[in-house]
Amino acid sequence: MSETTRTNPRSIVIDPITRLEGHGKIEIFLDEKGDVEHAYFQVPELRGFEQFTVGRPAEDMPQITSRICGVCPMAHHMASTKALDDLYKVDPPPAAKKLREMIYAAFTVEDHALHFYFLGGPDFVVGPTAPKAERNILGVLGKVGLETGGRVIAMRRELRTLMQQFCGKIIHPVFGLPGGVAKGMTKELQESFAAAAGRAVEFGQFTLQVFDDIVLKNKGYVDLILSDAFTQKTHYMGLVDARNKVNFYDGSIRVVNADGKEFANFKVQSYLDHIAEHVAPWSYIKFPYLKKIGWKGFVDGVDSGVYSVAPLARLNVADGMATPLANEAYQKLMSTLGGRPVHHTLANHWARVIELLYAAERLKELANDPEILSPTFRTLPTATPTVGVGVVEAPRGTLIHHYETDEKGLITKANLIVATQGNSARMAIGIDKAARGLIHGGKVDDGLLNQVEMAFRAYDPCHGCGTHALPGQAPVVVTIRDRTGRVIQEIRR
Amino acid sequence: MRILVLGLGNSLLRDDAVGLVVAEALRDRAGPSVDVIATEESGLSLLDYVVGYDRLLVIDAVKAGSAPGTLHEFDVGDIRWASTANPHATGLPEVLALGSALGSKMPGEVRVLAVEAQEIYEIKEGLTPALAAAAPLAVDRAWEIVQGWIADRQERHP
Repeated sequence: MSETTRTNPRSIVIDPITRLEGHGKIEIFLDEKGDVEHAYFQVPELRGFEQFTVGRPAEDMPQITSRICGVCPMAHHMASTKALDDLYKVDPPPAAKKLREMIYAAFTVEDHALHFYFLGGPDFVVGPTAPKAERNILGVLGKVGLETGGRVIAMRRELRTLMQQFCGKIIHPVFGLPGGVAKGMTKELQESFAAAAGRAVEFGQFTLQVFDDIVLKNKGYVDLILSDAFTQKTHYMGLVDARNKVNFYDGSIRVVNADGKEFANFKVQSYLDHIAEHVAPWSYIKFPYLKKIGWKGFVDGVDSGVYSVAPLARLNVADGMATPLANEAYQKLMSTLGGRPVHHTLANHWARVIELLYAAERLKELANDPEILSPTFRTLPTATPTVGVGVVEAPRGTLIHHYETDEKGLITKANLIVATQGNSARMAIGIDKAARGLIHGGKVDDGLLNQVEMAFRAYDPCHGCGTHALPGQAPVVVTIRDRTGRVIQEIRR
Repeated sequence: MRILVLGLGNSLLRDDAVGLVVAEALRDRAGPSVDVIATEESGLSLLDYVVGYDRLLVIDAVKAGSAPGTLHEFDVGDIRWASTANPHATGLPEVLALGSALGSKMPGEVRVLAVEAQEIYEIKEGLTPALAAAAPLAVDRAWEIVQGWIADRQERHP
């Protein structure tokens, strides 16, 4: 839809969300004046996860969960492996922890690169007001140049190849085991990782420069980041290390409120004391909220239990980054956008680039750590299993795996809190707010709809497993309905 | 002329596995005359697989509203970018365009053979009966397409 269309007042659906992983659908209900009454997003329900897992050996879970979602298999593999450590009450040797964190850092670099350039890029690199025909991968290439495009592809390929050499197939990793990893690192492969890590750090610095040149030097983009339509004041959640720095692999879960004050800091094993899930009749996705505050509806502010995860949330809960270049970039983001916490949803793209640089620096530290060559990379589990909970920061936010088993280690109960779910309430608030700000009197145009979608895409939502859901890239549909629920307009992309 | 058959899908999501099942069956039938890859990866990850081939046959599940088991066939140019209800092939035109723009040799002819799925939202292994019945027909049709390409190859390089 390219021109402004006058509709009979009443409902808009954006389904499926362009370039998103998994099937998304936005429904906008208008009132009798043609103004927005409510905007919702929906995802299809992926059924049967619990039934599928019950009775299976817990050791199979790192492979099963990585196959459910082809988008971030390594995040599920790692959260699952850590849940098995906890299930068997076994502490992996230092080399195993470092190897896991190193592989996870490599995965984070390549996944964040994919999102920044190719999935989020059409909004930010090409530009939010660019013609629809240019808001795609080729538009991104036109803006950043073919050389840069080639560099992104080559960087991802190099990291993925190394990960495959060490862990086996990306979708079926043979890597994490309860108490450690499946094999030790060779000197030769370690040198390849170290060389790639050096290039990854340069790539991270270069990407930050691209963001600086294209986004920060363009007042229009910065104004959009700061605009009220894309600002929600919620709580934030993310993993931090002992010094409260961002950590993707391990640590405690820290929550800060909308004023930036620490609200909670807990080990994942007690997540059920802190996180509860709200069910809404219009969506299959469950909306997690802070249990100690309670569900106060789809509203932001310090009194609401709604929280948010993913890059900006992680930066907001941390006192800084653990590596020097990324920390410098962190300080610049915070000073430019008015200090912690930053509530501007579109700043997620900037935070993602800073995290990419952090992951690259961390990869370099670990790849050059002689301890990863240690032959002691597994502690054999001996405890009788009962309950295990594991957490990592997936690219899209805090990811929790929780298993319960019988004494033989067969699953009796399994629960996942996936990253995209952590943002679902805030996304619902953001979409509703963007739609209200942009649609008046039943007037909808393509640019306005793109901005509604941008409120969604900034989170890089992946409904592949968010519902528990589909891998792959799927389209978006917006449906606009009147008060009676009649569809008055449907926009497919 | 190099030919690739690429089966896409997720083996844990019932009929979403049909592309994988058909590709594996074709591997047995075609032998070494063509390359066959069955993968659960999607999106940009597919780029590295298709580089360097002249002709590409993609086999996938689709939800297009017809009877389960119905075969759909189209050229990749018929897919609007990010506009189909297929979770895997959606990114394919973009992947091909990206590869070409970056100077990689991409397949000049890309056919998509899609099988209408019944159930793709349930985590469970195994095709539904309708798709299990349709899979051998899809294998036959895929083999016809590939044989046609092999014949072209022999005409050009007898």
